[in-house]
Amino acid sequence: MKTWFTTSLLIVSLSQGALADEGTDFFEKKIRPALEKYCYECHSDRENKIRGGLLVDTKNGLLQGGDSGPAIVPNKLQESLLWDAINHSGEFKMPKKKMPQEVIDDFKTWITTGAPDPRVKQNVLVKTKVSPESISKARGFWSLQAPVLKAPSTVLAKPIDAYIADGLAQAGLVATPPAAAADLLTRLSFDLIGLPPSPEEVAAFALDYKKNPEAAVAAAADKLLASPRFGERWGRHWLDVARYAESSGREFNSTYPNAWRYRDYVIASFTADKPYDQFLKEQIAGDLIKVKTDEEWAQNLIATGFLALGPKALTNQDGRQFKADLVDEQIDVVTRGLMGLTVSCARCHDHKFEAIPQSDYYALAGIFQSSQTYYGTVVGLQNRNRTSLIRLPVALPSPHAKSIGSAEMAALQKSLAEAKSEFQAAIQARREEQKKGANSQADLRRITVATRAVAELEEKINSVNADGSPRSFCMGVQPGTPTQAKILERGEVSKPGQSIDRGFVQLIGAGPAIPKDASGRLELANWIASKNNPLTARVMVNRVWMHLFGEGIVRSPEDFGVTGQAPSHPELLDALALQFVQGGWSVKKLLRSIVTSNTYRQASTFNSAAYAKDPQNEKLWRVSPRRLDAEALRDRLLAVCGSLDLNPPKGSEVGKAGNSVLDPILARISSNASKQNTCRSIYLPVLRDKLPAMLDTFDMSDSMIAESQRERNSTAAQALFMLNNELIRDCSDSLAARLRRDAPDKLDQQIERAFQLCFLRAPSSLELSGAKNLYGSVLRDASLKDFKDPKRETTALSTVCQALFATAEFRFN
Amino acid sequence: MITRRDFLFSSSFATASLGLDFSLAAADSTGQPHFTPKAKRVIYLNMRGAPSHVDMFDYKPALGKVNGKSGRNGRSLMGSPFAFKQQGKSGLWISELFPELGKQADQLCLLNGMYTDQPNHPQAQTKIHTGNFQFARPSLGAWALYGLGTVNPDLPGFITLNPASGSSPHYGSAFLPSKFQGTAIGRAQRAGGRLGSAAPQVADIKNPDLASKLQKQQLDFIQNLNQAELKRGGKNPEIQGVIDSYDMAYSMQNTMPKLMDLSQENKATQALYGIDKTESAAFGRECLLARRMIEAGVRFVELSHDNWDHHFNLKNDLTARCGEIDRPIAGLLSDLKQRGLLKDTLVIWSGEFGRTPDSASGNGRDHNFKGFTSWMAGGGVKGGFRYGATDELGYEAVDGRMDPHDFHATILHLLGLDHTKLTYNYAGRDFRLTDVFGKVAKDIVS
Repeated sequence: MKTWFTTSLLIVSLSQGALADEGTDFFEKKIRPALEKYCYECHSDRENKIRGGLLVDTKNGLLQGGDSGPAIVPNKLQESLLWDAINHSGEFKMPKKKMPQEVIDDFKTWITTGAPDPRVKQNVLVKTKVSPESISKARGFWSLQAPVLKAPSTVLAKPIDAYIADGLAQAGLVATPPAAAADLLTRLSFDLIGLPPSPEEVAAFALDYKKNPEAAVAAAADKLLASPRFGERWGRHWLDVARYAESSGREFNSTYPNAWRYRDYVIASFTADKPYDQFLKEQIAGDLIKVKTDEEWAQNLIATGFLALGPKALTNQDGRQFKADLVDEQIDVVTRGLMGLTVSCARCHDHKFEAIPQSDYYALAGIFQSSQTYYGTVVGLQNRNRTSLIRLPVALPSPHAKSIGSAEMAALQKSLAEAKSEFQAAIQARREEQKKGANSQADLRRITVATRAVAELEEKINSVNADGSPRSFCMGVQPGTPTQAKILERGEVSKPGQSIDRGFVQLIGAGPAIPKDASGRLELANWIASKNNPLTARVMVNRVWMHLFGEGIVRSPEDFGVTGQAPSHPELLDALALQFVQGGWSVKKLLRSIVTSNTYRQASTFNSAAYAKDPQNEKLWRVSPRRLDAEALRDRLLAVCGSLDLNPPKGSEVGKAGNSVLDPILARISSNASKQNTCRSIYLPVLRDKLPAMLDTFDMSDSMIAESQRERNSTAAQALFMLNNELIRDCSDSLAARLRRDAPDKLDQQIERAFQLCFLRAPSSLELSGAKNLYGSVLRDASLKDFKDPKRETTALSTVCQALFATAEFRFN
Repeated sequence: MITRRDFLFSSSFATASLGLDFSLAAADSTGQPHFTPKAKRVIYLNMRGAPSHVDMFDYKPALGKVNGKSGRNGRSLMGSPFAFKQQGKSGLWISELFPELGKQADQLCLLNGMYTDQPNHPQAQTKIHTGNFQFARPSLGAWALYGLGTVNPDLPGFITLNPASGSSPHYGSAFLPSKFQGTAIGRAQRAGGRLGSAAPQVADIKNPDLASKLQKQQLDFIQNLNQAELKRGGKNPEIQGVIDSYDMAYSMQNTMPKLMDLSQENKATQALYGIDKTESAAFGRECLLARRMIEAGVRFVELSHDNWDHHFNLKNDLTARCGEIDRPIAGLLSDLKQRGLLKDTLVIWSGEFGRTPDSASGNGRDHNFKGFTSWMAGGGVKGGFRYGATDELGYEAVDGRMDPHDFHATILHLLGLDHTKLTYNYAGRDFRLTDVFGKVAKDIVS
């Protein structure tokens, strides 16, 4: 196969004449051995260590230097940091045990003669085997072609039903008759707002439905779509795609105390039915979008939190690797998350399956490398990759932020001055020790403590304005210096190859030109959120469909590539995508058209003949029963027992706790919130690796990567939770108390009401007698003999309530 | 009048079937080894923090002779402060730090040529557990369970005891179905400034309010409602999964407390594991629990022991750490042997990397990912055997080199699984524990 070069070969000249040879000779004899002996241990790729960002095993490494600037300026001894360091005369004193004087003299000779250094890395040329022809050929794949409207063969009032009817007819299947009114309203309610209807709402709907099913469904859908609870349901679906969490995860799990601002932005966007294309643009490039007001700008900055709140290995000592991983995570969420294309697979080599050359990955990487990501995180010695946060242009202080009065500020300033001098003293003490050849841990610890004290005080002082009022911060991205990414051989940061121009994924189609002085992030946002992008609208309508029917039209919602699954109804998918874009990217309009279809209204009745032909229900011969996700299950539980608080809390428990990394504190935030907060589940703290127990047990996303579809497991841990956990027992007690309050001394009514609240139906006579038997057994049991009467009865009823919560029926919709 | 609902509710639920095929092929374990396994179960002893190979299992007489001389990078070499002795019939060299484990030398298969490519603890721990440090990948235990299936349906197939915080990927199933993920019991707790181990417990294993006789009645009522729901037929085959989960939960309520109750073991056994001694009681309990678990049919058990990162005070601290694990591990090996379990139970001991033969602090050793020692015992490996070697000072693996992929390939091989064939299709690609790497160390197989 022919090989194409992504850019022309960079040729490195190694011969620079006789003079250079002499200098090289000196380098090889004197300097290279000294660097190897004294410096490589902490500053070389060979040892996989780059303390302070400095590498001394290449010429470039020395010239570029580390975090503090160039290590060597040829011919200029005084400007060469390395010279100060080896003489122990500047900020750095390296190596700790000074080199012998003759070696130091060699360095002097070397630097003053121009620092000849033959260790020019032969630039790696990373080749691609993906030819332009193969890319254009690959564009013929269905998901990369523009959607086309193809009329269904069946003629029905609603196009959705006609497309589905086509599929059913081909497979020799028929649609299931409509669901009962109660089931239908329950389905609509969970799907649109994530909460159950009340038995009264069900009764009223049933009457309307009897009169005019069409109008009743439309009215119910409109009411639910207009509910402020809508954004909390659909916002949560989006938070899965955005891998939203309020901490960094990994081994050093630092909180993100301002992440909740992004959560609230997402909820508000869905509630307001913000056009989806605008919603995407704000999240990718909100900082760059022209706005009229600062308020708008503030919201757009908060939106870019999307790129900042991914998981991070903050302890990584290799800053290059950390940045490469950060960018990789951003590329993944933007490509796989928004377009269903696994571009990250091209990080180390050409994509194995798609026509995505490795250079396309680095074209995108350049865009993100040209931006700065701000995520804050706690001060700490182990946290080697902390950043500041973005200050909002308007005052939107966190409800947890505190003002600082002038007296307190003076005290803080004083403490800061003291902390700084303590830091200096600690450094001095360590130097003295080192001169004596000692190396005590106590000294190191003193420096650590002092460093931390300074940083913490500075953070606190900077958290307020001059008048002491709290400043407002968010996570997000800001423009950086436009730069070209270097393609990395096998994705290894130590093996950079040629530079790649910033750009997009060729496979999807050409994008707008990126100006030389711009990162290209705004152009990327426009390219993704464009009606000409064949993937963006399809991926979104597929997810919407998936949340309503349990499975998407494409059953691999994050993979629309050749390794993904083919659509079960390609014409329907295209029709919906076109309708979505033409309808101004309105999610609510899209939802309304689907939930008012007859397809959506089908009952879930099982049919063994249909099952035999289509066990996965791909043709939608019924609506498959769906498991409630963790949030809907918890919200249902609290709603049924009467303790759900629908007022959105301000901020979040994580915001209240502030910057923290301590395991017991994180665990406490999480467990206290699960126990004490009766808000909707979307407002509970989302700490990576420390999810609230109930949500974790019932398969909440672990927020590590963009993933729109939840796992659906039935585990023993779930069963144990339902049988024994304190939250379930408390809710059972609450419901029992509620039932007894509403219908004192009327057991049949109490049980019937419990069935109505939990299942929105009456119990069968056998179910009623089963419940009464259980009630009676508990009531008569010797273990309760010391309880006073009401408590005995409440306990007995609570046991019945708990059983209802524990059923499969309570968990399915 | 009998309604349909009532009719189904009153008919016999126990065995009635609607003729449905509830199996979900993609979610099932392959359940079949590729060839006859040498080992059927695994106990993995994870030493977090990178224990010093040259002071424990990699005897370096040459290092003692150059003590104080300049080593690589201009730092002073440090001979081991511990004496080594040849042990057992095999004459393996084992450090004096392991007076009890040394007696089990003839069971041990030392892997002296281990190396990795990650110089920091978190990444290296993730690498040795999942084969990858960057991406979420299934753990070794999840792959093993996926490959072999569960033994005892009343118990989880993969249990990890007191895992460290943030280590969930080390027992996670990533894209494998979550029934293959490790069930974590207990959490490593910080106590008195260092990681200690609280007695591990299963969450929500008991209802404190409801007498168990009543709970059984409650459960019967729940299952009756579930069975009726299943039979109504309008619902999902997943209902069967919920029913099964209650059966498992109920079994676990009965099996786990008993399984976790070490008072069932006599004093002699407890002493064998060092539970009678303060320093070794915590890890001894975990080792004894591990034996009880694999005996009861758990496929893969992982234990963790922390604080092996000895940059300073190596002599005192390493002595203390080894004192915590010596008797428990020796007890585990001899107990497995006397019960006839060692022959098909693979015991693995490993950190994430090793430590340097030289010393920056003068009294400790630094990170060394280029050479370290892990060992295996039982389950089809040669006992009293030494495989691979580092150079004469212990800097770098030079012979019988094994990286985490080779290590994993070898473990799967012992379990009767071909690491190139144990695949799972995810996002359109067949994934392997060993990616495109891995070489089985056939020489260690007995």
